[in-house]
Amino acid sequence: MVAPFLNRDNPEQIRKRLLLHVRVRWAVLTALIGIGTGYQLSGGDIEINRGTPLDIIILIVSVNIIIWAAVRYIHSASILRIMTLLQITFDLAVFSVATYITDGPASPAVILYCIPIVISSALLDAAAVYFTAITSTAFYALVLWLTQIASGRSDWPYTYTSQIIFFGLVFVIMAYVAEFLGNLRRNEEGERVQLEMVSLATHQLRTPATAVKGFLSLLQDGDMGKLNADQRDFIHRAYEENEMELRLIGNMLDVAHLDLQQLNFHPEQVDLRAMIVSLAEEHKLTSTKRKQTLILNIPESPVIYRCDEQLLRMAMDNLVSNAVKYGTPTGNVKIGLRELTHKIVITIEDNGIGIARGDQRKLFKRFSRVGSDSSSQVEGAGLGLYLVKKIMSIHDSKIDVVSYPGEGSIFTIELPKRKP
Amino acid sequence: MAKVLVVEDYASLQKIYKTALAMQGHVVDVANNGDEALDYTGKKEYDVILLDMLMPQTDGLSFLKIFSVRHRDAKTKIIAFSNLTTSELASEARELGVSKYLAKPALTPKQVAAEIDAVLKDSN
Amino acid sequence: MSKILIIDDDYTIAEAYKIAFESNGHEVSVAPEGKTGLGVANSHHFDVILLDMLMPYMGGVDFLVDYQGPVKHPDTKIIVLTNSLVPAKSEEKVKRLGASDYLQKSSLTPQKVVGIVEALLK
Repeated sequence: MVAPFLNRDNPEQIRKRLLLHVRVRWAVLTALIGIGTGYQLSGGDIEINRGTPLDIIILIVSVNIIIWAAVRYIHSASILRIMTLLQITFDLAVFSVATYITDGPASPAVILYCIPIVISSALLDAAAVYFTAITSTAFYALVLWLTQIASGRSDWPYTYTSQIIFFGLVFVIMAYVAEFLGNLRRNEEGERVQLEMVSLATHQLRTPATAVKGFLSLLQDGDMGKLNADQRDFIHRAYEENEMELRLIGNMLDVAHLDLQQLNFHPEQVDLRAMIVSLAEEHKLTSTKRKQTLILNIPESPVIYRCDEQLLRMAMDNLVSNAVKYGTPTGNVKIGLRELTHKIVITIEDNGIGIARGDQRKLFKRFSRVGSDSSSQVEGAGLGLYLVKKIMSIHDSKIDVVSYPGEGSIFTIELPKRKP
Repeated sequence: MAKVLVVEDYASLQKIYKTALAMQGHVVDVANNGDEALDYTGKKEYDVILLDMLMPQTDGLSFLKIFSVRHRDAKTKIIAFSNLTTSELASEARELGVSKYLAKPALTPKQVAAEIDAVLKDSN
Repeated sequence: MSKILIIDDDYTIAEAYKIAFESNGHEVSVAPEGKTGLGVANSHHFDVILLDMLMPYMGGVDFLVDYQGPVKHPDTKIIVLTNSLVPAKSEEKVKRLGASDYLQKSSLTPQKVVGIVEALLK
């Protein structure tokens, strides 16, 4: 299910909700037809004062097809945002026509149609909820005016008071939903401020650590006078410790940036094949140093996929550098890319120390590092896989690991293909 | 031997870069921020400016904007470096005439000095 | 002629083995990963299954755990292929799980693997 909070700048998310809503409308239509047929079969007679039940069905079907077609082929966030308002307007039109045809808010057509309206406004946006509440009041007033005053009818079965109560209730519920969504947004703001603080703090941690690195490296090189073996050893250790701290700070920054970026997701058409080739190029230096062979199992033609390039690259980079780091020297690191009908599968395999079954579950948690005897020589996985997992969930993708101690590990990323 | 201006607000890093560059035989001036750097560049022409991007008051980008207008013809090479290595900042700096953009935490002072030599070699 | 099932996610390696076995007159099926391989291996009879250790979703060890061959096809032999550089660690484990042999991929050519399989079948 989708989260209640809508990121207005994320077209994928808006699209998903709009499509979900189209499905809700199909469900309502089916229910209406079902109830109608059932009622008719059981000997009841559907009372329709103006038009036929077919009119309502045709109306809903055509509206739904228009929205579905539009949503499917639009990629711009701003147009999709307008679509959300437009679709509520459509819904209200159907709602009003249904009320007009059946002569009252108590008919199944009208009551059932309330469901998509409430769901749609709740799923979309706090502003949309207010918009719905206000316009629906206006529409309803129009319907009342048409049925009662304009046509001079007096056989309307509902009292004026009951209609006011009905509408009052609808309005209160909608306002409540709007308030709820507004609160979510405010919390999100709070989280953003907090993340920015973390980001700032880590920056400030980084500056002194960089200075320490500078001083130590000048001492280490013997530029400030000759050192004896112990002094050199100690300074070397201090330098390495500091390097570890710098790496950790770098990871913390990445996590904070990622959390910020999640609110700011930018998908575009990316050639995954080219991405993997350039990643392999980057890691060649380290892997050659460790006498490892980097093997690419990739198709010959580009593999285009809609994703946030920076994020996906960050994830892949983490996985490949882990494979190089934890892979045995003189071993292989294999990167595979395969395009299937419904998904794209990327695999990163090493024949290194492997991960014990019990540790595999902990792997993707924040600040976890898998403890195995031989991994103690390699430092700082820490946040890396947590980052990867997070990036994958932003992309609605799965990451999976198969690993046996002594055999190595294979990480599998599964990117679902979206409709074009 | 080259004339180098180090623009950096953090005292320890000033000391580090000054030491490392002086050891390579360069003549080094140090400016605490963009404003001071503009004063220095107004008085003297440098071969290389080593510019920190994140500084209080006049930061690296503002310095670059003013410098590129005031000294359009100068042969000065500018190397920017920062803790923050976002691609936007880097590309903006490049557009303003920066020859190289370095990630501070990744490099030792010696490596920074080597980068300066490389840039000087390119210009000759 | 024997029926061989190759379960390996590495397309190139699977293809190389397939060609080698077919040119020696065997009938070869290929499964691209463990889960598919498991379905095929449980429902069809093979003389030999060549099983890669590291594959997406389901690796060799998990395959051996879920494989119903010992009950359904007791004469099927399983040969595990590995990239591991320290094979001793897993060899005992996969043999306990029913594998007949545990081979190091990189040190063997496909032709040699065919030889080993034919020797095993005799």
